[in-house]
Amino acid sequence: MKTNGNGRSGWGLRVAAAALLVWAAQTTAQGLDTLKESFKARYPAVQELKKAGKVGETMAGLLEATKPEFAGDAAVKRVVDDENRDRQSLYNSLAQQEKTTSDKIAERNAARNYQKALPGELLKDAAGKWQAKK
Amino acid sequence: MVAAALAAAGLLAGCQPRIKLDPIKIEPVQITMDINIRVDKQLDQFFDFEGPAAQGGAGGTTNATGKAKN
Repeated sequence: MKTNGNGRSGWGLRVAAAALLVWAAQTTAQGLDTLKESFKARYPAVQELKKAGKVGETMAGLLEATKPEFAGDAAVKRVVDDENRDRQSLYNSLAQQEKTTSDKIAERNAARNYQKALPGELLKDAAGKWQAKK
Repeated sequence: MVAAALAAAGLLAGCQPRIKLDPIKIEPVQITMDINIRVDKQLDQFFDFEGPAAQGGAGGTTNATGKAKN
C-alpha cells in the first residue's frame, strides 16, 4: 500500500515535470515564431538601409548606424533599435536552448552576417572601422 | 681524462629520456564544435527567409532577388 502511494506521487511528479517541459518548449517555439515574423517584416527595411550604406553589421552580431548623422535619423534609429532588441531576444532564447551564452550566439550570427553580406555592404572590423564587403 | 669521459658516458647512458604521454583531452574542443554547428544550423533555419548569401564577391545576381522583392 505504502509503495503504491509513493509510486503514484512519483508518477505524478514525472507527469508534471514532463508537462512543464512540453509547455516550456511550446512557449519558446511560440516566442521564436513571433520573433521570426518580426524579423521578416523588418527585413526589406534593413536591406534598404544596408544598401544605402546607412547601417552595417558589427562583430557583436548587432546592426549599427555607420555615421552619427544616420544614427540621429529617427527612421534609421527605429529600425536599428527594433532589430537589435529582437536580435538580443533571439540570442537569449538560443543561448538557453543550447546552454551557452548569448554572446556566443551573437558571435556566431555576426560571422554568419559577415559571410552573407553583399558586396558594398558595410561591416565593422576589429579596429572599429567600417569596411565595405568586397 | 679517460676516466672522466667514461664517467660522463656512464652518466649519460643512465639518463634515458622518459617520454610521458598524457591522454590528449579533446572533449571541450569537440563540444565547442558541436555547439557551433548546432547554433549555425539553428540560425540558418531561423533566417531562412533571407536572400541568398554572397558567394565570394561573385554574387552579382543576388541583387536581382532583392530588387524583385521591392
